Amino acid sequence: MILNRVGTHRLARFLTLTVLCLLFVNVNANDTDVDHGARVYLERCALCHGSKGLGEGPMALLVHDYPNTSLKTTDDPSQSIRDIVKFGTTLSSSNELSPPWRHELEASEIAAVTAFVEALRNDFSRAQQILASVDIPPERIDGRKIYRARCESCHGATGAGDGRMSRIIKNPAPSDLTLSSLPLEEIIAIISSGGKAMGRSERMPPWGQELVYAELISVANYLTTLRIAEAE
Amino acid sequence: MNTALKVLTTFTLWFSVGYVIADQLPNVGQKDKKFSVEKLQVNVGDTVTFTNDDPFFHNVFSLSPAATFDLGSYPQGESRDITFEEAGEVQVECAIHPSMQMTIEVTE
Ligand code: HEC
Ligand code: HEC
Ligand SMILES: [Cu+2]
Repeated sequence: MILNRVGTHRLARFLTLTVLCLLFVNVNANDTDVDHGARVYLERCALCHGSKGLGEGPMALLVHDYPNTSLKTTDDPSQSIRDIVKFGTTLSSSNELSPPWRHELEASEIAAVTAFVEALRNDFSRAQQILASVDIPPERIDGRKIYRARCESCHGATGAGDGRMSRIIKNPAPSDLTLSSLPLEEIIAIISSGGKAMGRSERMPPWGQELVYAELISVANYLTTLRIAEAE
Repeated sequence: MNTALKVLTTFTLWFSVGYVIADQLPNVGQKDKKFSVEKLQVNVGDTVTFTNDDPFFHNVFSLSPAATFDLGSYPQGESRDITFEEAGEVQVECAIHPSMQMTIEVTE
């Protein structure tokens, strides 16, 4: 009888271990899910949560008093990540700003983006590597919003170089982008590496660490639409 | 006398109805993943109501310099208001459905 009980315990322990191992294997087998999820994330979530998951989306940067939307946290979420993604607002009346995705994304997309958010929480640097390798067409990203959130303070709403900070940044002042004739590759280079690395003013910050590649391209493309000659 | 009264009543009614309509908040619906109008013109200080007529959530927002706001996610039958304080062109979008776009021209 007693032996038997010990036997049952052993069996239970063995089974638990097996299940845990399977779960672990499953997590690793989910790499394709995480890759897919990163893509869904960049297209659907980066507006608010930022392209690195740090809460620096254009919405969060521009809307006054927006809550912190960083997903890099080890705090226990209030609900399962999957439920937050699926039901958003409907879960809690306190925060209406988190949209529900259940009518908008396929079940497979919800699973994938949930796996990606979990990757952000569990292994942030791996999640960043995945983000950096996502092959997303720049047309899927709105360069205009990135410009508003990251560049307008210096270069101004129309690109004329008259943003708020131009009052304190002189010699050189932020470039008038409507008159710029820089070829696209050089625009991308100065945006990515910053002024200093290009032998220009260090007051032009480097954005390569802040933005993913597709964002750099889409904001560079947006700059060319600000050019006066181009508009004619 | 009778006719004069009728004319007066008609005019009074006509004017008061006109007044009520003019005074009503412009309402922009969200139906079939579209805004009910593509363009709207309002004056500085006007309030616009956004009503969700779809059986799923919408999340109306704008990041335009003239008005930067997020009305949050809300279900069918509910609406949210926003008052425009600055003149300019406001591009209104939905955070859940990127294809939903409309423009509000705010004039002095
Ligand atoms: C329109 C803006 C917006 C979009 C788009 C958005 N979110 Fe959110 N999300 C929020 C806000 C705001 C919160 C609440 C932050 C707070 O109050 O702590 C939130 C909260 C969350 C949380 C809970 C975080 C925690 O630790 O409690 C998760 C998970 C989440 N969002 C995932 C997603 C995913 C995945 C997507 C894309 C499919 C997405 N969100 C798109 C605004 C947004
Ligand atoms: C803190 C202020 C500041 C911010 C923010 C800023 N810039 Fe600049 N930028 C500058 C300054 C100053 C220069 C001029 C550098 C020089 O001439 O040496 C410059 C120059 C440039 C140029 C070179 C234009 C030319 O024709 O030579 C480009 C392109 C550019 N910025 C793009 C951007 C983009 C895109 C962003 C946002 C992602 C951005 N900048 C954000 C200050 C800023
Ligand atoms: Cu919508």
